[in-house]
Amino acid sequence: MNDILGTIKRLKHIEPERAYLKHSKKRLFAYINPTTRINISALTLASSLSLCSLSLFFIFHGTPSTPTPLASLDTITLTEEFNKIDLQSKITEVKTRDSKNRAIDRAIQNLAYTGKSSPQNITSPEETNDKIDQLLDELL
Amino acid sequence: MHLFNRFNTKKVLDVTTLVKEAKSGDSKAFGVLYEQYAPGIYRFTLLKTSSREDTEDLVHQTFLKAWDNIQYYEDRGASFQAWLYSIARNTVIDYYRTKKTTATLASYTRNPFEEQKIFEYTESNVEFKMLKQHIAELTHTEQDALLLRYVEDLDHRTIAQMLLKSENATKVLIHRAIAKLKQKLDPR
Repeated sequence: MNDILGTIKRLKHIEPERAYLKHSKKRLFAYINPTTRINISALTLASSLSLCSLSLFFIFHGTPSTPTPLASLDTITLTEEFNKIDLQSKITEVKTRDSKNRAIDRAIQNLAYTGKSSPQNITSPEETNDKIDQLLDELL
Repeated sequence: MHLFNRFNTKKVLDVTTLVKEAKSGDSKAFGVLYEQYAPGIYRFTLLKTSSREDTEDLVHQTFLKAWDNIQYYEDRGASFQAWLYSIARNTVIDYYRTKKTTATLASYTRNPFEEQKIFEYTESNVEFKMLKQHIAELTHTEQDALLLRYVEDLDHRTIAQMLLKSENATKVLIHRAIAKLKQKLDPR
């Protein structure tokens, strides 16, 4: 019996480390110390006052003008704006900006596919240029 | 009991005075009580739980609860120390309810550091391992009674108040717990 009690009593020697106790006490006091609470309360109060001041400033002076963010545009507005664009004029602009060589290529291909003429029948460069000019007039 | 006040080396305060001051909101007085009782609460909690990390959290919770409720503490025969151990005991019970874990004293030495530290105070690892295994097989009430009596040195009357039993019933409980341990350790 005494041996068992002796062994159990040896468990008394289990103790936390000093470093743990010190840290634990600091952690505990961070919660319970009134000074900490006052500091936290003061900080909260200061933050609230700052926000109130900022709100009052905007109420009396108006909010700063900022561009309407894209996210605020609804679908209808976007559709309306899209419809305002003259697509035909945009296409013409693009065509006008095309290089002459690309227009010629398209004209020659067009001739071949429609059967009105064919590149094989073109005998001279002058005739080719005339045909191309004619087609370009039709296209543009 | 008189406690040595670390904050004022010339001042010696008794527990009753410290508790009175803590009740009036003096955190320094509560700090002195913490330094006095934290090691015991830590040991008791460690022997009832499974890991050092959990123990540290539970000790923290115990003292926070004590601080939050110290204004309700009244010395009606039970000492402040017993009151603290009661809070620790309830905190551990809540811990097991929340965690729904089966980890007990048998597995509390998972941390090798803790294991090594505890073994320094026992005659042999085998002896200690067997002891902790057999203690874990006791009922929770028997474990509490045994640890509070022979590890925390609380008297039978205080333990009886904590366990809501009569003093005689507590003595019988402890005696039976020791008999069970003896039977398990030496079945001859």
